[in-house]
Amino acid sequence: MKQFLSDRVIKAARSVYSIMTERNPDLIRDRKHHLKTHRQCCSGKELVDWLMKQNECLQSRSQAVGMWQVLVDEGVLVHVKQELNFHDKDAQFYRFQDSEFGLNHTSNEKDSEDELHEALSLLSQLGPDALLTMILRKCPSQRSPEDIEVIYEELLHVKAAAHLSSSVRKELAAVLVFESHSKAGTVLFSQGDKGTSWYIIWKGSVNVITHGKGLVTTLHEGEDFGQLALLNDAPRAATIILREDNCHFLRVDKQDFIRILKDVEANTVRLEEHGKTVLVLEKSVISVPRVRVPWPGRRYTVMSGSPEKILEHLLETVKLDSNGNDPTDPCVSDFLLTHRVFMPSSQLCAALLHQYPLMRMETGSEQEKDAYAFNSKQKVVKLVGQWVALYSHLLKEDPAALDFLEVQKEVAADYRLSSILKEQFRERRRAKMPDNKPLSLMLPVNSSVQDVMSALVKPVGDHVLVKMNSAGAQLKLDACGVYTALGLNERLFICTSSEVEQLRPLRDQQGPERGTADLIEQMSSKDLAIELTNYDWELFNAMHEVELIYYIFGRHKFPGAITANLERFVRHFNEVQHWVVTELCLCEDLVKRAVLLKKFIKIASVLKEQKNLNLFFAVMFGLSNSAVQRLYKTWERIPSKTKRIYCTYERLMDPSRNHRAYRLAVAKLSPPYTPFMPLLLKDMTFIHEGNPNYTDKLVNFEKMRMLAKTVKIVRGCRSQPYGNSDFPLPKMSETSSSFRPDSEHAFPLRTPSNVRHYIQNLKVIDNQRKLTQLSRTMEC
Amino acid sequence: MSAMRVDAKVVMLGKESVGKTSLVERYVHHRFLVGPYQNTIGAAFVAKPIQVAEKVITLGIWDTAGSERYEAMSRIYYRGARAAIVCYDLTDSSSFQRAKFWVNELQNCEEHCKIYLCGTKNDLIEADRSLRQIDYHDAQDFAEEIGAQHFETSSKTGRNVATLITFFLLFSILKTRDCFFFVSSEEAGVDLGQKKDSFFYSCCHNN
Repeated sequence: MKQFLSDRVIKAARSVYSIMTERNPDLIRDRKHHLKTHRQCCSGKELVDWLMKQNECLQSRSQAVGMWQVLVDEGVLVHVKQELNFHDKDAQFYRFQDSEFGLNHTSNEKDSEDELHEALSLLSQLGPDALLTMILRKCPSQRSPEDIEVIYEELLHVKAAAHLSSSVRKELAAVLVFESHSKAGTVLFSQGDKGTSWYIIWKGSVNVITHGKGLVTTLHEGEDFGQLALLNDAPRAATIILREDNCHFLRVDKQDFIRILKDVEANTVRLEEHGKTVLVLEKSVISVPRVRVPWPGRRYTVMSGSPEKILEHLLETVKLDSNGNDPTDPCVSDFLLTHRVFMPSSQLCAALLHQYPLMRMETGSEQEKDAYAFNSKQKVVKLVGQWVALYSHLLKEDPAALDFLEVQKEVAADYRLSSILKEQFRERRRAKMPDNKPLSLMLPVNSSVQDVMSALVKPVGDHVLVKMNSAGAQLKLDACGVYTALGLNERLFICTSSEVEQLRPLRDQQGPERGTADLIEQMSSKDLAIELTNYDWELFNAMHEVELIYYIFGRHKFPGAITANLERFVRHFNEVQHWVVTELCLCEDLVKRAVLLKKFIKIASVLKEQKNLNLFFAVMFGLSNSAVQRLYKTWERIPSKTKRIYCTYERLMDPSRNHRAYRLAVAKLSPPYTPFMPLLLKDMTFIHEGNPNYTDKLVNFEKMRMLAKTVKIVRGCRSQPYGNSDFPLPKMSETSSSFRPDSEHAFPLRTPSNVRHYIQNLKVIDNQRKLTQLSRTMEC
Repeated sequence: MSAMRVDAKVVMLGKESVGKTSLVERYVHHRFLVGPYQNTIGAAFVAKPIQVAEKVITLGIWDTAGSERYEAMSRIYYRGARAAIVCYDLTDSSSFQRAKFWVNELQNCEEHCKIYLCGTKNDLIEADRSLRQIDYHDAQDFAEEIGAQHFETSSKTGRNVATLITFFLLFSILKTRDCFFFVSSEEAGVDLGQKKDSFFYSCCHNN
């Protein structure tokens, strides 16, 4: 298997080498440096430049470095001084071992482009690993902050480090040393030796052997050993022998281990009240020197605590001297975003009021007392200010919060409460009577089943409300929030319980019978993408940050909470995805279908350019649907260049290594952009399901912080208004669309408002079985 | 990180909060989400090597939790899967409908994927029988109709969790042999390895 991989790498090297010597032969030449001439070699920097030029989907130089590192590891590319790490530097020279590996065997011209493509894709797949190993091999003192970040992220996946807090892991990332041994049977250390290091198995496995008992256990990847001797300052209690060839370890030497891990407890502060722990703080260690710390001095972060105590602690740390635009302690905003999970508004309000009068010193002069009380009051007011700013009109739904704010208004007259008076969100609801007459009525978006029914029939009596999808399956309704529970092409029906059996899905639920390919043909890909993004961005922006929290924990746990905007946004993704499949499966003419397919790929490409990754994935998911993928004849007609673009995009969807491809791509984006929402929700779900809300009966605030951090990604995405930064997004104007000579198929009749209308009213088939059938009829 | 070999890919499907993640947790870590267990970002994929007789098989388990509302997202996870564990909550009839949806989907798109139907939260039923919404025999009939194995499990107590995977393992090793061999070798006792032999990884080059 390894050999096989090697062969593929060498093959890749061959095609990269042949293209390079053909296109840019001057890259390989004699180079002079420090009075020494190096024959026929390339500079590291130029190699990276060249690779970046060949592959436009490379996001960063470090990715390219990783790809070259693969070749260095394989021995195909060798540093003139035999160094093992590839450096992106002008004066580091590398030589291709062309004769040794037969790199000069050129293949025929025509295939070379495809081969290069394949080679680059293999290298970019292997690159991240090679880069990581290279970083680990570096001496810890030479690691850059970016290097440490890479290791830190990797440690998330190592079992031995998984239980450690993020600050401890960050410190570990800075000191870990890479150690590898090539032969099975190598003794790492023997029983009775002095303990000098702690090891994590990165790759491979080891046997643990003790005198008398022999083989005690076998340890595998991700497990660790050797900490006992360090903790107790005792000799090694067992012998460790490599169980297989080529094992890799991460090593932490004693000194660092003692500093970081043995003191984990010392770094932890527990505050007790009446014999019970009420607050656990951990000293945050800022190990990356270049990071500017806005809060100088020693800082403690809340790990867990009782809700009231956490609040009290946060109030103590609120800074007042600022003008309001300061970078507030992220802890405060984390708390505000998640408080409803562990502290309903009523409890929060009570606690805040409690903090208010209580903050009076018992001793000191009147003046001091006054100053202190004033200071404390200001802190409460400031926190409330942030709270109101975050929740704005959502607080209107909350009687406890309103009462509280009334009180606050008297003491802090400068509150702009006008923002909470925003109009309440209402959505049009449709329900059908059994005779299939559609009914429309306006109800609040969080209406319960009972609300909807009593608005429709009086008395409710025997009637039931039924949700049905396009396939005719009747689905269970949540008791509250009827509207948000409706999925794509799902409708509500009201009837008596005896009629339930006769219910059939409506015709318009089944989706359209004829496609709109002709219509799409008249609109340019760009215009379509622009309107798609405008609409998507509007939905994305309508969503409130806390909706994410409600959605992940389950809306029913928060009385009165709505997630309607988020769900509408989710539904739009599914709608666009099905739109792509529907249109392709309804376009019977092969030639037209191929044009349409090409157009969708083009749309994906514009969406990506617009940094709308959400809809980019929606279109791509549509194209990767089995009903579309099986249309071989259609795909055959796509020009190979377009197909190649599609393949590049497809790689972004690759879920391996926890969607690494996507994560790398998105890491470099600056706002505004729309993230791939499903993954964000998935990450939050895993944080939620993987961590308890309470540890030792205290709020697990670290979990809240992790959740808030993800929510803040959304905040970051939306921190810039769309369309005025580096990607100017012109609202389509009548003139520009009619006089655009280069735009494909631009048609004067297709005015922007028509495109908009089309995009906002997509009709789709969501029934996969039906789509597959359609696809089979067209191309069997 | 090494390119780890995954012998078989398993995907977890089902409506949200039916307990997919708990099932994986129970199986891989022998626990039911207790104690400090943090930072599971990246656990969308879990690899578990298991010794069965003389063979070591590495299972790559993909959990679709959190993306249930996006069918297409689950599709990228089940692509090429050897087995799918389709979960439903014994106390929630709508989750059974959703399970049927996924079974249908798998039968259409991944013909070679072996389906395991798994009713979760059995412990709740045991505590209060009136909570049951899915009749055992109805589910069993459905399973027979689609040619799937059917289990009722509890991640809390661990009931049937090991058996579920054992069946899967036997299938993957002995898939060429007949059913009788299946059962008999299960009776012969398979060492499912209650040892510490699992680890977290978010990578999978072979998938």
